[in-house]
Formats: sequence, structure tokens, C-alpha cells
Amino acid sequence: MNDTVVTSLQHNNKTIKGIGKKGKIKKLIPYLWIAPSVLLIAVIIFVPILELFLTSFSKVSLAGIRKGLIGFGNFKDLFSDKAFLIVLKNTLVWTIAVVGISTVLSIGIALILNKKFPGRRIVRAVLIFPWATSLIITAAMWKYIFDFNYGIMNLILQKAGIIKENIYWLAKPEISFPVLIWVGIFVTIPFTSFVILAGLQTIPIVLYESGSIDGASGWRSFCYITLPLLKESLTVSTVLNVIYVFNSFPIIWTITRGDPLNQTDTVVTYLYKMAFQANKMGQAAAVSVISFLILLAFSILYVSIVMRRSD
Amino acid sequence: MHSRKITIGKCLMVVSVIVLLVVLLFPYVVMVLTALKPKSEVYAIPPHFLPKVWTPGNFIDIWEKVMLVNFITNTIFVASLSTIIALICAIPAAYALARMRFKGSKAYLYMIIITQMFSPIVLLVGLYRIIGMFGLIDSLWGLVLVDAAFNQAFAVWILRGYFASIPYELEQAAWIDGCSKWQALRKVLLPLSAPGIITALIFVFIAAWNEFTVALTIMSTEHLKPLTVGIYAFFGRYDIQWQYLFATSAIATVPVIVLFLLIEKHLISGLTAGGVKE
Amino acid sequence: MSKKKLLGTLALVICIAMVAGLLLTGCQGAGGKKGESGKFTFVIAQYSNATEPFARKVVEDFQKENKNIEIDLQVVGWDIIEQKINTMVSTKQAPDLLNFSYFSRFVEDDLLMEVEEVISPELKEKFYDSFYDACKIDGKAYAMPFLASIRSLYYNKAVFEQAGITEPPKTWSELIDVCKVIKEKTGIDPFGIEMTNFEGQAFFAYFIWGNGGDFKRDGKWVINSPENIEAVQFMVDLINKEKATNPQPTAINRDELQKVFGQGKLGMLITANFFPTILKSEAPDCEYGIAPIPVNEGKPPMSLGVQDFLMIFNSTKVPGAIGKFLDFFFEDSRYEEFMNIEGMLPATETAGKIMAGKDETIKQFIDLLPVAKFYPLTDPKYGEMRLEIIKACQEAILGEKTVEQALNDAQKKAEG
Repeated sequence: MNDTVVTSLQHNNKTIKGIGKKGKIKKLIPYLWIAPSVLLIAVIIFVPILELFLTSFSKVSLAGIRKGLIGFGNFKDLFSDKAFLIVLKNTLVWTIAVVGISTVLSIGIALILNKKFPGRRIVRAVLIFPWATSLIITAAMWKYIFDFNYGIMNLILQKAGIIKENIYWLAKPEISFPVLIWVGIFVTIPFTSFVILAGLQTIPIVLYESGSIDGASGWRSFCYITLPLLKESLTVSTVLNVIYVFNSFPIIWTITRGDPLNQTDTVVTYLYKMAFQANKMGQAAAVSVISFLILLAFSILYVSIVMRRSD
Repeated sequence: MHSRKITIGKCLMVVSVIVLLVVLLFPYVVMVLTALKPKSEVYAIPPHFLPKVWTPGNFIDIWEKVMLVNFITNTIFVASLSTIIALICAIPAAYALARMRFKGSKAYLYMIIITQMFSPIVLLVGLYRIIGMFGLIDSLWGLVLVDAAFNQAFAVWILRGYFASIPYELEQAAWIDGCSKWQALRKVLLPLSAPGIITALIFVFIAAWNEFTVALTIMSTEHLKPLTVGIYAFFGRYDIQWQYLFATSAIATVPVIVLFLLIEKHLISGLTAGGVKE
Repeated sequence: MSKKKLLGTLALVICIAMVAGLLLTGCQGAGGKKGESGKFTFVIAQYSNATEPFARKVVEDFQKENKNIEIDLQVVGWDIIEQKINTMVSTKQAPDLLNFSYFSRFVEDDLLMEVEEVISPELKEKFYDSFYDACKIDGKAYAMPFLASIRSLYYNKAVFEQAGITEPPKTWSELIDVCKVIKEKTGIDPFGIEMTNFEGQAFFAYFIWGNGGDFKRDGKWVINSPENIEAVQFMVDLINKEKATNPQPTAINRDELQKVFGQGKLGMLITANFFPTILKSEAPDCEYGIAPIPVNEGKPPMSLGVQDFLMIFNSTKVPGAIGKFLDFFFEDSRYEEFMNIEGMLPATETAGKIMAGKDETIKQFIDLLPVAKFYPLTDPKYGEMRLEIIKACQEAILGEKTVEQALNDAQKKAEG
């Protein structure tokens, strides 16, 4: 029963082929619709991307000037440093943990915010705080809160009798990395929740009504009605979140700078150090080409899996 | 049986809303309280939660210490214009993707997602060059273009999903009533996709509001700096003025919240409120 | 099919991009006349909140006297100056006059003018010789000193009193003794060390120089010299064996240690001469003493001098105007005012004499200048080696490698 409702809705989504009649002018119309967007992106973003690729295959002086192509030299140098593997592993853990946990929490938050209750507007407004504050400031605030010496977190835990001695939150990666992940989740939740919330709004209430007539429990209607219809929103939020979190810089840079020994470095902080502290622009460009390839592979894989399941 | 279930559910919801509020607000409470401390108290060991000497003067000092009015106006300018440009470009593109079938539509989708796969940090050199070519170094318009371009991806993706979820029949009905395609888009589709458009708008606006890396590199004239760059004045080489930094950040958050409250109600309009339910 | 289209789109976009790129690189002007008038860009790093207003005033005053010169002043925060400068230089839009902490990498690319082609002989004479010499590569000065800071041992008088110590330690063995007493009697961490990529190399320098070691010798990197190994071992033991330092040196930077010191939770800290200025506003009640940095028995006294540079890019069209401006900027009273605002030490001997005559503490710092040593900033590889050295020390502190292994590996990077 539910299924038929869903599929009939999806039928409506199907685009209708051959708008208008044949003729080359008509065929060109869609391209006119996308032209402004393509132009904007091509000019502003693709030129720098091209430059980046060029740099990754070039010898670059310490002052940052390209001195001719050298093939894969920068990439080879990169993999000769053992730290790079640690960094790749950290990036993986960081991205999966932040995106995964944020998504699960955000679904819950979006479901709550989709219900009517007094003060909903306030909660929604508060939810936007972490998003509306500059990332550097949010990160600085958490660093201040978790500081060993003057941080408020230790004070609260001591007052509550949970700990006796101050915890050095930001020293050993076993503790500091989870703290970083927490801050990552904190800033990712608003965006994710709002995307999912927007998705929830598109689900016609009639679906739930017919569901509850059938006697579907809350959990069942969530699994069989809500989740499938959220697929579009979840795909968008997951793909974009993976990319954003993977490329996130200010949190780790502000809080630990990747110390100690690259153990809290991710690809982006690593390449920042490489580019602007060690002055190896070529290698930094190579790092970002590699991380681009990783993200590309992920996106194609993810999107194709999700899309296939839907058809 | 049934009613008890509802009360448990309600309790659970109340508890989770409270937990959510506390967690979300906690760092901002710390921020505001720190902004109300004199400098000598910011680093007290052991720390104290409330200021011993309340110093609301910090919130007044910052207006003199930096060109805060300029910073805020600049940021509003950049964020608003880049949001408008981003949406003007994204809405037709998303519409085409949702409603028309054409060769290269997937390629275009991949292309915009590719734009997100590079950290702006590594694109700086190239961006600087291209912005320089347009003569827009140290100009807010340079930032507007960059922010609009980098936010195409999200805007197009979310809008495409939204448009696609709205039954095509509604538009077709409008055509039969004599509307042109453009009119149908404007009068039927756009109002119905308000939540999606609002989501995209909020997203682009906030992203532009918080953009830092590019602004930092291309803006240098003091009175033209956006907020994110301007507050860097409180990061000295050897000394960071946290109380001012936090006071400024607290103030900087206000416009975004206001904007959000103004348009928030549209988040729940659209489909659920419209006639599609039937 | 869509793949083909994707490739097609990409190709098209890349073509557009290439054309744009070519257009861009093509139009770079060349200059180099001895311009006395015109416009130039001056990028100055932001030392504190006071830097911007002061620099702006200097520029305005100068422009009033020189109507034919216009200066585009840009004040850039320290955290971000690297990335800004790097971008400007690699897109060939370097500033004319730059204040920065590195210069050798620009020399390598032949981007800087020789300073003596620009500045007046009188100005050149003003600089302390040791500072000016540190700007020379192959005997030619490619930068001039802008200002300096110098490091000393700061000790908390209240902590010392509580522990019953009257004299700050002069040698390493005294340092250990003092630390033990402080720890026993007060329970406060006796000695501050940071080993993060903020400024870990400074602590490396304090110890190796205090043991007669160095970064480079006769033009070659000697990171794993026996003196250095012994010195770093001493530092690691101080942290891990004696437990005489703050608990996690790899997780706290010098600025944060200064706060801890100001709150009376640290006995001693080696830091710079601008520290008193910071304490005045942050911890006005903290009573402290200043002493030389302790060294190993029988080794000569030393200190770390850190100087920032001014350099002129050879793309400038108005070296004459820049020379004029520099004369104006370094005039004693103006320059002295700047130093006082920032709590920095002057790089000119004339201003140094005036300031030493006025203030006893400043005199104390200025007297240290002759024994000051500098980071090997004339080596373009320093930026990279700084990180490698910090990494090696972190490895040794965290027990991932022995001191010898860690320094050997860093040395390999230097040679490779």
C-alpha cells in the first residue's frame, strides 16, 4: 500500500521527454538555462583548478614560482614521507566519524523540529548558531573550553565530581582527536539538520495518515515512508558533508595544528603546513590532487550506488 | 496503553530538546561571558564561569578599536549579493535539470560537485590570478563572484531535488491555463519550493558570511574588509585580545540570526502548507 | 554517453581556462628605473593592535612632506601573512616594500633588490652590525633589519620566595636543583617548555646553543652534532625524568605558557622582551625577575635574537621613493616611538642608545644584543628544517625515537 503511494509519487517526478517539438533551437534551450551557472563556475573555479594541476606537476621554487614541469616528482616525494599515510588514515577517520555521527543525530533533530511544539522557532534559531558563527571563532571557543589550564570543561567536570584531576584534553591524540571530531560534529549538525528538515517538508502528511491507518508503528513508518523519501536530501547532505568535512581546515588548525607528530593532521592541515610553512607548493598541490581523486571516487561511487537502488 | 506511549514519547522529546538546547548554547554562553570579562580574568587559573568584574565596556570598546560598522556593512553586502547572484544562476540551472532531459546534464552535475572538491586554500594562487585579471583585487565584487561561484554546487543540488519533488502536473495545469513556461515556474513552482529556496538561500548567505580564506588574501584596505578578516586585528603577533574577539563574534552572529528568524517561517510553508497535500 | 559529454565539457572548460591563463601570464610589466616619485605598496606585519594606527600615521606624515609619493599601506596579521605573501609573489604581484620574518627564499628566485642600491649610506650606518650582517647572503645584503626581540629567563618572584630560592639558575645543573626545590616546596611546575610547531625551534635553540651546539656550521647543517644530541637529551630528561616542566610540552604554545606564568602557575619561562608589556595588561599583579638563559657548565652566555626584515622587491618602479621613506621611517624619534608601542628592540644603534639611556630594563635587553644568536634564516631551507627539528624533538619527547635517531633523521632531511 505504502509502496504504491511512493511509486506513484515518483512517477510524477519523472521528467517529461521532448518538451516542445523537434528542432535544433528547442534542443538548445536547456543549455541556455544552465549557461549562467556554467559560465560562473568555469571562469571563477576551473581556471584555478587548472593552475593547481599544473603546479602539482611542476617544480616550484621556495618563493612559490613555477619552474617548469617535472612529471610525478612531487607525488613521489609525498609518498616517501611516512607521515602522509598517517595523515590519510586520520582524514578517513575524521570524515567518516564526523559525517556519520552528524547525519544520524541530524535525522533525529530534524524529526523533532518537524513536529509542532511550543518554542520550536527558538530551537530552530539556536540550531543555526554554530553555523552562523565563523568556524575559526567556534574552534577557538572550544579550544578555550577544553584547555588544560584555564578551560571551563575541567572546572565543570570537577565541580560535578566526575573527575578529580584536570584532564589534558588536547595533548594525546587518543583524547584530542575525539575532541576535534566532536567540534566537527557540532558545526556540521546545523547544515545537515536543515537539509533533512527541508526534505521532511516535502513528504506529504497524507502518506503518514495512510500509514497509520494500516497500523504502522512510528519506527516502521520512519523506515518505510520517511527514510526512502529522504533519500534525495540524505544524498545531497552526505555527499556535500563528506567533501566539506574532508576539506575542513579551521577546526584542526586552530585547536591542535595537527600536533603532535602529524597525529591529528588531516590532508588539509598537512598541505597547509607544506605550502605555507615548509614552502613546498608543488607537493602541496600534489596532496590536493590526490585528495581530489579520493573525493571524486567517493562521490561517483556513492551517487551511483544510491541512484541505482532507486531505479 | 496508547496514551502512556504518547507521554513517554513526549517526555523523551522534551528531554532531547532540552539537551539539544544546552549543548548548542553552551559554547556561546561561554563566549558571551568571556566577552564580559576584563582581560586579566580571561586566563584565570583555575577558571571561573562568571566574570568577577563585569566588563560590558568590551562591547563598546570594539566599535572604536576596529571599523566594525564598515566590516558588518561589507559582509552584508558580500553575503547578500553573492546569494542573489548564486540563486539567479542556480534556479534556472536546477529547473533545467529537474524538468528537461538533455545531453550533458549529468556532466554538469558532476562538474559543479567537482568545484567543491578542492580546498580553497590550494586554489588561492589561481583565484588571485583570475580575480586580478578582472581588476577586482581588494574589491568586494571579487568576493561576491567567488562566493557565488563556490556556492553553485549546493544551491543547484538542493533546488534540483526540490523542483523534482513537486508534481509536474501542477505546472502543466498552469500552461493549460495560459501561462508561459517562465510564468508557470514563477507562479507555481517557486512558491511551492519555498523551503528549498530558503534552505539554499540560508546556506549561501551563511557560507558567504563566514568566508575567510579568499577574503583574507584579496582584501587589504582596512575599511573594505569583511568581518571575518577585520576581526583578525585582534590577533596580534604575540597577543590575542580574546575578550574583544569574542565580543565582536557575538555581535557578528546577531544579523544572521535576525535574518534567519525573518525568513524561518517559510521553511515550514511550501508543500505541507500548500495544496499538494491533497 | 554522459561520460563522453563529461569529457567534452571538461575539455571545453580547460580550453577556456588555458586561454585565460595565457593572457594572464603574458601581461606583466617590467620596471627598474630609479623612480623618486610615484606609488608603492608597503606590506607590514601586524605586531599588535597599535601597529595599524601607527603605520598609518607615519605614512600620512610622510606623504604630507612628499606630495609626489603615494604609499599603499597594507597591514597583515601574522597568522596569515605567509599565505598572503606567497600568493602575491607567485602571481607576480609582489609588494614593493615588505616587512616579513623570512627573505632568503626570495633571494633564491632573484626577486629582491640589494638593499644598498636603495637606502642611504647614513641609514646603513645606523643598524647594529650583527643585525645587518644577518641579512647578508654571499656578502650582499638583500634585506635590512626592521626590529628585534631578545630572549631571557623570566622567573616568578612569588614562586621563588615560596621555595626559598634567592638566585635564578645560571647553569644547567643549577637549573635542575632549582626545579627540584620548587617542585618539592610549591608543587608548581618549575620550568616551561613548548615543543609545538608554533615555536618549538626556539627551545631547541636555547638548549643546543647553551651547550655550544648550533643549527649550521661552516655552511652545513649539523643538527645531529654530539653537542646537540647531548643538549636535546638534557631537555628530554628535564621533561620526562625530572618532570620539571609543564606536563605536555607538545600541546601548549609559548603564548599559552606566558598566560600560565602570569597566573603564577609556572616558576620559570624563557621568552622575549615584549613579555613585560603583555604581563602589564594581562596579569598586572605578577611579580617577576629577568635573568640570562642558563647554559651548560663552562659554556659562554648566549641569547636568541629574533629579527624581522624589510625587503625591497626588484619589480618596484620607485626605489628612490622607497629609500626616502626608509630614511623617514628610521628617524630616531619616530622609530623609538614605534619600538615603545610594540615593546620591541630597535635594530638601529642610535635608537638603541637613546632607549637604553631612558629605561633600565631596556638597557638590560640591549646589553644582551652582542651575545645574541639568530636562526639560520639566510638558508632558504630553514622553513622546512624548522618543522623537521620540531618533529624530531617531539619524537624524542614522546619516546617514539631516541634523541640520536630523531636528530639523525632530521639531519638526513637537511642533507637530502
